[in-house]
Amino acid sequence: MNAKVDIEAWRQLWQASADGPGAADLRDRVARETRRQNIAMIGPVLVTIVIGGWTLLRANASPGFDNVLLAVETWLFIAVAWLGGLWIDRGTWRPLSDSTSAFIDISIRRCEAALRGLKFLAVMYVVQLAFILFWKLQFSSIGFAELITSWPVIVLGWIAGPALAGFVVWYGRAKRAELRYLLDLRRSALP
Amino acid sequence: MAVDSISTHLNVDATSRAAFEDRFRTLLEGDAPALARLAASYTRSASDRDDLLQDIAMAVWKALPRFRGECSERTFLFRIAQNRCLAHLSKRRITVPLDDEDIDREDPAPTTEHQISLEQERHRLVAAVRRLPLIYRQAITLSLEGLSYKELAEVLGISESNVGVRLNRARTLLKTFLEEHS
Repeated sequence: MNAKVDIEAWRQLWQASADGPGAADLRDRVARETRRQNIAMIGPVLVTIVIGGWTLLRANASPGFDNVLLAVETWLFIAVAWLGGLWIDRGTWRPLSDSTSAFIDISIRRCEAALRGLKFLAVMYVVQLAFILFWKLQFSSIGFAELITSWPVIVLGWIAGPALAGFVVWYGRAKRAELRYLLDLRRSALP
Repeated sequence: MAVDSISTHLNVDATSRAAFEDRFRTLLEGDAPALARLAASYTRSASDRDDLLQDIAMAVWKALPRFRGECSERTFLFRIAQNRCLAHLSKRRITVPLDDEDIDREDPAPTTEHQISLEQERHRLVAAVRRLPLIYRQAITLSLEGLSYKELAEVLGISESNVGVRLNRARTLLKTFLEEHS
């Protein structure tokens, strides 16, 4: 009896508040966010087209073994990156309107997939950097010392390498913490 | 003929889009205050709450085309909202209960003494709800919004008897927290 009185009194008190943006404001925010997400989706496709297209044009303009090898390796890299990404994300898509229990399960799988994705990203970076160094040494006249101090290697290796390593450590920590939180939650939420 | 066909097709598209936007608007208009209260019980500030609300609205926008009426629209809406709140917590790893001092109070100043006292009571209730462990917080916030045991079970993906257990525990804890405050 008392419990019913409590909950009813709390309910009235709780529902008396109506702070926060209204439906119209939320609709505008959704429209803005949808536009932003659509633009963000173009990014990876654009990078694929620009880099892949550039190697193809180069191979077409001067079809020597070096340029053909570069184009083939680049498109192979692009294919592996896209397919690898899809493979890592397999089984992590579920309707947004799942129940909380199902949502916790899928969130755990997404965290695990993100951690696998980080390893994949690191491996892909090392492989691609090694190929670029090999290709430059093999098909250009510059020596090793000159190569590792050239600006593309400084940007792609000396700057991007530590930046990527930092990102992998930071993001990996965040995802592992999120995973621990979700696993704890699943344990405590078990019926 | 071809032009007619295209024009009919475009009209159908425009009509279905308008109907979809209308459905989205109706869904949000009915429960925007409830969603704001729910988001407020998972966030530290008004700007955080608004970001979470945007996240919820975005998820509803994406999920709505696939909604085929397997449950009530309210259940559908609160499922998405609870999931987004949970994702918000897990990403920010807010495990420490929020104190009363953390609450960002943005309400306009009440005018009468009764209103002031009511407002203080409401803040105490929100602060106490925020202190609840997640599984009890989920159950009590939905119950305070007037969802039935059946709807709660559908949103949380647990049995109705389990809902009862969680709500009882949540009520006891909430009462304790409120008594500590008073």
